[in-house]
Amino acid sequence: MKRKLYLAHSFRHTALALACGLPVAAWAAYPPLPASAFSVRAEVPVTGRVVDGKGEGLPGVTVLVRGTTIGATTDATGRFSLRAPEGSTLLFSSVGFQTQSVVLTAANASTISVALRDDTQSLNEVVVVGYGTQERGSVTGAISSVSSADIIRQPVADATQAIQGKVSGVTITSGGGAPGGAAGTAIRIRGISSAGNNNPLFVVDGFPLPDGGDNQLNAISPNDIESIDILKDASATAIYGVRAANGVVIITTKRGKAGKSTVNFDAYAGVQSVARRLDLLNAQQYATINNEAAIAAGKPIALDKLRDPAALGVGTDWQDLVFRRAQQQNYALSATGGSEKARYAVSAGYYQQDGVIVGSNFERFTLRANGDVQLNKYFKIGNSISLTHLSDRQVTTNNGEYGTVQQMLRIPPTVQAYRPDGYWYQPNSVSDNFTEENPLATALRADQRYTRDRAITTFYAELEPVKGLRLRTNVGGDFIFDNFHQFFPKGPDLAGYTQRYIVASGNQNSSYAPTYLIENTLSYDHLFADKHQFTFLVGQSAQQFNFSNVGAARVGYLRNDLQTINSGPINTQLSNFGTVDYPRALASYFGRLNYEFAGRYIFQAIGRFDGSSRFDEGRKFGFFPGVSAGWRISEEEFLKGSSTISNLKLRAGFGQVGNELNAGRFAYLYGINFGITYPFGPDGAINTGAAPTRLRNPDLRWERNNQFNLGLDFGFVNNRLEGSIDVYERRSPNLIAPVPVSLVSGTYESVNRNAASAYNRGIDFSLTSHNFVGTNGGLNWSTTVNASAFKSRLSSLGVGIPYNGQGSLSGTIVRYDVNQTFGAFYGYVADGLIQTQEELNTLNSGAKSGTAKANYYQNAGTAPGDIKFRDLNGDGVITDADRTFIGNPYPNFTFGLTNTLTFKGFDLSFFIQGQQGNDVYNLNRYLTENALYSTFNGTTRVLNRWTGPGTSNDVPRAIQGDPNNNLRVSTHYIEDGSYIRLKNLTFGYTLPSSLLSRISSSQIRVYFTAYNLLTLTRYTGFDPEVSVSGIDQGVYPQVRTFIGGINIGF
Amino acid sequence: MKSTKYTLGALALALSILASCTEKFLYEQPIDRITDVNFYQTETDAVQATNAAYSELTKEGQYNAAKWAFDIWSDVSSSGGDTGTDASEYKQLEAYSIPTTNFVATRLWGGSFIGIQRANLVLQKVPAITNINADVQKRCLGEAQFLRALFYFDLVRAYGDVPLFTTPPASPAEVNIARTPAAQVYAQIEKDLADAFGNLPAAYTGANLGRATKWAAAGLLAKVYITEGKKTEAATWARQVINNSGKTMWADYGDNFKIANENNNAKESLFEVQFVNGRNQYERNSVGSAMNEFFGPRGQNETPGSGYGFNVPDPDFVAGYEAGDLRRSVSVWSPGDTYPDGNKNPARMTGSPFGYSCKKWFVGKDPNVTNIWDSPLNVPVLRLAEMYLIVAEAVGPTTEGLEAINKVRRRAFGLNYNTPSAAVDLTTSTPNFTNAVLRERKYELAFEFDRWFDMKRAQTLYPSLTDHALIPRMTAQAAAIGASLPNVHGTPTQNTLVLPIPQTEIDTNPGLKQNPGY
Repeated sequence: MKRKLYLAHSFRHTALALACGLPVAAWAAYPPLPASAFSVRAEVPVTGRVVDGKGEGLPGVTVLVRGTTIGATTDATGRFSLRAPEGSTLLFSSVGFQTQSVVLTAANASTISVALRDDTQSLNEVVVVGYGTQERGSVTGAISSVSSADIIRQPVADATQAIQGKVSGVTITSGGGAPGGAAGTAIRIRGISSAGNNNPLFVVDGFPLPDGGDNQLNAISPNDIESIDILKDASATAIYGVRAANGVVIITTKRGKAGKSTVNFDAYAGVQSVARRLDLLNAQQYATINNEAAIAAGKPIALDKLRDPAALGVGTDWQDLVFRRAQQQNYALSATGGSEKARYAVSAGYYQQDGVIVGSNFERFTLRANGDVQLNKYFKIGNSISLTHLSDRQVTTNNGEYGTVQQMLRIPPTVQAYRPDGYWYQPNSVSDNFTEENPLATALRADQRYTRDRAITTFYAELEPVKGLRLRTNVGGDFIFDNFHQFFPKGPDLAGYTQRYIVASGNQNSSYAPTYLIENTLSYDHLFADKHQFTFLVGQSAQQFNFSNVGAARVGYLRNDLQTINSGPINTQLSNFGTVDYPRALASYFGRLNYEFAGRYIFQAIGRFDGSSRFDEGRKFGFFPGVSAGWRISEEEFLKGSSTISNLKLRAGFGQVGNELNAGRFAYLYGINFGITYPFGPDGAINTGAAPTRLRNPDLRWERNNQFNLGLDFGFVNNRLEGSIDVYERRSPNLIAPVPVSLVSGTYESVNRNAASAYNRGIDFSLTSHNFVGTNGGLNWSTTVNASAFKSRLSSLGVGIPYNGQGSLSGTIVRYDVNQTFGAFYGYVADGLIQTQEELNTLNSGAKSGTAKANYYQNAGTAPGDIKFRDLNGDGVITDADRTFIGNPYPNFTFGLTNTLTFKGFDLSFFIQGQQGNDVYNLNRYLTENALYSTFNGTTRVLNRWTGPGTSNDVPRAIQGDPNNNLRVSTHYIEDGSYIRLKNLTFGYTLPSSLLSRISSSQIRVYFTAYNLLTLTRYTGFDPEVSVSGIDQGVYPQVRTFIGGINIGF
Repeated sequence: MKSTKYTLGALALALSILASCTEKFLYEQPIDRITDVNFYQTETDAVQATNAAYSELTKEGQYNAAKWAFDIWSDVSSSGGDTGTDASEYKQLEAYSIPTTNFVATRLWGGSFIGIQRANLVLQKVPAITNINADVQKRCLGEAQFLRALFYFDLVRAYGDVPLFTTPPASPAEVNIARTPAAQVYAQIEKDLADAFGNLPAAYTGANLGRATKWAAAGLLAKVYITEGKKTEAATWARQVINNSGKTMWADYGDNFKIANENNNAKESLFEVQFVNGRNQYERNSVGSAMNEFFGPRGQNETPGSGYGFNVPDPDFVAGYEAGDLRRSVSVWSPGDTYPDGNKNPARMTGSPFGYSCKKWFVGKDPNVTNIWDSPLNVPVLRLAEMYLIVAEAVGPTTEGLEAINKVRRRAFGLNYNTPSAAVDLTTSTPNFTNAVLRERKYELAFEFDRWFDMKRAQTLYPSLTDHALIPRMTAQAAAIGASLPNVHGTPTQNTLVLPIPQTEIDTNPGLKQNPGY
C-alpha cells in the first residue's frame, strides 16, 4: 500500500491525524476507472456571448449541456465556444445570476446571445452545505445564504454583525458598540437550547473553527467573504454531528475565476457617535436630591458644598468627557483572476476604528491568498491562507460592576475631572463623599493592549479520475496567538492620591491555540438515465485543538518607561501562571447521499459518526443522522411552465445533532481537591489531605438535539415574488445541568449531568419581491422581508433543582427553572409605591395576622414612597419566597426589511431591523436610581420621585440607605426592549462605463451610508440591544455611524 | 476473486488501523490537574488521601456542631443561646419538632458520609500503590478502616439503617442505593475495626501523633459491642486495651481537657479529634474548635467573642453530682465561680436561667491560645476511663467489674484510683449496678457528646432503667423541669429515637426511605 500524504511534512502535528486518515487517502492509489460511455448525438460547434443586465460581457459563466458533463466557461469578454448535440439545451449559470437555458438549433448555434439577470435568491444559486455544495433548487433542509454584497454594506469589523436581521431564524445580538465588535456578537440559530454554550459552529473554507465565544469572525475581513451559508435544521447540520446542535455558519471566501483579472479597491471612512445619551443630573439637581435623601434618613448633609445647590451650577458633564466622536476607516485591495489552469484571489485589508468611549480603539490588518491550480486533467490543488493581525485597546464595560460606563453614571457631577495641576482628580470621601474611581482614569490610566495574530489556512488536493468522482484531501490549521499587556503607571505621589494611583503594576498574558485538521472525502455524482441524479459522499475528519498560556504580574515598578515583566520588582505580590492543556480531539466519519428523481423528488440522508475526547472511554462516539426530502411541485406536469406559480417546493427533514461544549473537561474523572486539611503531631501541624469533592460522572454525554423541520419554498409570477417559510421543533432531551449530589457520595459539589430537557419551536419566514425589474438601467426595486419567532422552554430539570445564573450587586437576576425560558429573570414583583401611612399600617397589620406572624410587611424601615412588592405566597410578609419569574430576555419575534432600488447609475438601499417583545433588565438604573439612596449620581428620572401621597407611583422617595431595599431585583427595573432600527441607509452612484473606459477602470462607485441612523424604542437606557443576556450592566453603547466610501475596479 | 479477497483484506486491515489510531487520537490525559488518574500513585498520595478522611472530624458535621446535639438533646444540657432562631438547630431537637431540614440531621449525615467515602477511596486505591513503604501502606488501610467504622457507628446510631458503601461510587448512578439494615452495618463496623486492629501500629511518634492506633480500634470495637449488647466481646476488647495498650488514667480528671496535656495524645487518650488554633476565622469547617466560643458563658466576655452560651447544663444534671465529685468543677461553670480574669460567674445569663455553662472545652480568650472560633483544645473520642466503664457494664458487679468502675470513681473524688476507698467505692451490695455504671458514664463522659447515644441504647438494652432509658428519662425530665428551662422541651417517642434522613437526600436519592414519623 503506497502512502500518499499530501503536504504531510509541513504538518508534523497532524501526523497522527494523517495516519488515521490513511485508509481513505490510500484509495487514491487505485488506478482510475475507465470513463463510462455516453450516448452521443451529432455535435455541432457552438459559439456565443453572455452579458449582464447592462449589456457587458460576463466572464466565468458556466455553460453546460443539460444532462451531460459537456461544458465551457465564458472568457473575459463573456464569449464561449463548445461542441454540443443539436437540439440539446444549454444552461448558463453564474453565481448571483438567474440561470437561463437556451435550446440549441442549427439557426442559433453560432450566434447565441444570453443576458443573465441578477438574482440573489435564485434556484440555481450554489449553496454550501458542508463538504460540498448544492443548487438551491435541490436543497431539502433549512439553509439561508447571505452574499457578499449584503455583508460589505455594513461598516462593521465582524461579519456576523453585518448579517443581523438578514436571515430568518437567526437572532444576532451585539454585546455593545465596542470598536472592532470586541463586545461580542451572539448568534442564536433557532432559539436557545442550553444554559451553557449556544454558539453555532463556524466553518471557514472547510475549516471548522474552534469555539471562540462571541468573536468568531472578527479576524476575517468582511471584504474577503463571498458568502455566508447558515445551516439551520438538523437534517442539514447533521453532517457536522457532535458540534452542530446550535447550527452551522459556513463562510466561503472569494476565489479566483478564470477570465479577466480584476483589481478592486474599496475604501470608506466615517465618524461615529453615541446614538443616545442619558439625561443625567447636573450638579444642582444632584445636590438637591442628595440633601433630601440625607435628611430623610436623619443624617447630616454630608458636604458643606452641597448646602447651596443653586451655587453649584451644572457641574461636570461626565458623558461629555467620556464619550467622543470617533473615526472609522476601512481599506481593502484585492486582485482576482486566472485561467482554466490556475486561478487566484489575493487581498489585503486594513480596518481601523476608534471607540466612542475615550481610550478604546481597534485596528486590524488582513492578508489573504486563495489559489486553485489544475495540475492536469485529473488533479487539482489549492489553498486558502488568511493572516490577521488585530490589536485593540478596550475599556471595561459590560459585565463589570465598576466598568467605565457604570463609573460614568455613578460619579457625581460635583466632582471635577482634573486637578488644578492637570492630573486626574481622585474623588475621596472627605470632599466628594464618593470613593469610586474617576471614570476617565478607569478608561485611560492603564497602558494596555491586546493583540491577536491568527493564521487560518487550508490546503486541498482533489483527484477526479472519472468525471463526477472526486477524491479530496483537505488539511488545515488555525493558529491563534494572543497577547495581552497591561501596565498601570506609577502616579506622582500627590496629596489626595491613594495607592491605586501611586503604585505601578504590570501584567502580561500570552496564549497560543493551534488547531489542526485533516479531512478526506470521496464523492461521486452522476445522472443515470436522464432522471436519476445521485450524489454520494463519504469522508473522514480528524481535528485536534490545543491551548497553552503563560502569564505573569508584577507590582511596585519603580519606573514607568520599563514595563516588561522582567523590569518589575521581585516581591511577595508577584504572580506567575501558565498551563498547557492536553490536546482535545475529534475524530469523525461521515457520509451523505442525495437522490433526485427527474428534478421533482429529492431525498437526502446524512450520517456522521463522531468521536470526542471530552468523554470517557466507551462514551466517546455517537452517531448523528439526518434525513430530508423535497418535492418540487412546480416541476410536476400540472404546474410545469406555469408562470403564475414558478416555483413551489415542499421540504421536510429530521436530524439529530450534538453539542459537546458544555461537558467541561475531565468531568468523567474525580478532580482531587488539596484544600482539605487536618492537624497532626505535638504542634498541631496542618497536614494536607487530598480527596475529590465532586463526583465523577463517566456517564456524561454531549447534549443531543432532535430537530424536525417543515418548509415551503415558493416563487410566483416568474419568481418576481419568492420566499420560503419554515416551521420547526427542536427538542433537547439531555441537556447538561448542575445536579446536586446526594451526600452519601462523600462529595458535595454539584455534578454536571445530562439531566434537563428543553424544546424550541419556531417559524422562519422570508420573502423577496422584485417590485420593478428594469433592463438597461431602468428602475430596479426589490424588497426583502424576513421574520422569525421562536418559543424556547426548559421543559424539565430531571433530577436537578432550579439554579441561579447571572447575578449582580442587587442579587441574582437569572434563574433556570422548569417551564421557563433559558436566562429568564427572577425577582420580586413591584406593585407601585406605598402612598400613605394608612396603607402601610394595613400591610403591617396584615403581616401580624397573616400566617407568617411577622412584625412588618416589608422592612422595619419601610415608609410611604417605597416600592410595594407583591406578596405572592399570601403569607402577609415579603420574603425570598415572593420572588417569581419576571422577564424573558428573548423577543417574541425578530424581523428585517431591506429595500434596494437602482436607477441608471444610482442605488439606494435601506435596511430596517428590529425585535418585539423582549425584556431588558436595566441594571444601569441600579446606579442611576441609587441617587435616591446613596451618593451616586442619577438620571433626571429621580427628579420625579415620590414626595407625598399621589406624587409618583413609579419613582420611590429619596432616602439614604434604602431601608426598604427598593434596589432589590424586581420588575421595577425591567423594561420593554422592543425596537425598530433603521440599521443601514445607503445611497450610491456608479459612474457610467463610457466615462470609466477612458481611465481604463471597470467600475467606480461612490456611496454614503448612515448606520444605526434611527432607533424607535421605549427603552430608556442607551440602547435596547444590550447583549444576549438582556441585562444592561454598563454595556458599551451602540454607535451611530456616517461613512462615505468608494469602490474602484480595474 | 483473488483481488476481491485482497481488497477485503486491505479494507479490514485499514479499519483496524483506523480503530486503534482513533482510540489513541481521542485519548485525553489530565496533565493540567490532579485527578484519580494521576493521583493515588505514591506514598505521599496515600497519606494525603488518608488525612482527608480525618478532616471531617473537626468540621460541622462532626465535632464542630452536629455532635454537640448529643449532650444538648439528652438530659445533660439544653441548647441555650439567645431567643429567636439562635441555636434553632438544637431547639428543634429539644422540642421534638424536628423538620427534615434540621441542621444537625443534615450535617451529621453529610459529614459522616464524606469521611466514609474518603476512607473508601483509601481502601480502594492504596492497595494498588507500589511505590510505598509497606508499613505506611498497612497503616493507611488501618486508619481508613478505623475511620469508616467510626463514622458508620455515628450514622447507624443516629439514623438506624443507612446506605452501606464499602467502595466509593464510580458514578452518580451508583450513589443512589437504598438503606442497608443496621445489623449489616454493625457487622461491617466490627469487621473494619478488627481489620484496623491488625493493620494499625500501637503508637506513633512525632508528626504522626493523633492518628488512629490499634488501641483506638480496639477501644472503639469494645464500645460498638457494648452498644450492641454483646457484653462478652465488649469486655474482651476493653480488657485488651486496659491490659495491653500501655495507657493509664490521669491522676487528675481535669488533665484530660488541658491544652498542655493533649498534644502527645498520650496517657489516657485512645483517640482524639485534633484541633489547632491560628486560623482566626469565623469558621466551623476548618481546624479550630468553635466550642470555646459557642459554649463560653454567654455575654461574659470570657472568650474572644464574649461567649454564645450554647450547651447549657441542665439544673437536674448539675444537682446530680455527688458531693466531692471534682468532675463538676471541670465540666460546669456555676454561679459564683471565678473566671480567669477574676470576674465571677453570674447567677443567670441569657439562655441559662440557673447560671450554668459548659466548662469542659473552655480555654478563655488569651490571644496566644485562641482567636475567634479557633480553640486548639482537642476532644477525646475514646478515653481509657470509658474502657473501665465498659468492662464494668459488661461483667457486672464482679470483682473485676467493681474494681473497674471504682477506679473511675476514685479518680473523680481526687483519690489514688488504684487504692480502694470505702467512701466512694461501689460494692456488691450496691443496688442496680448497671444503673450505677450508666450514671457514672453520664458524669464521667459529660459534654463528650455521648449521652444521647447511651440513653438510646439503654432504651433498647435496659428499658426499665428509667434514669437512663431515653423515653422514660426524657419524658420525666420534661415534666419535672421542662417549664423552668428556657426552651421548649418536648417528649420523645419511638419515632424520635432516630434523626430524620435529610430532606435534600430524600430529594436527590429516590431510593432512600424516610424514617417513620418524619
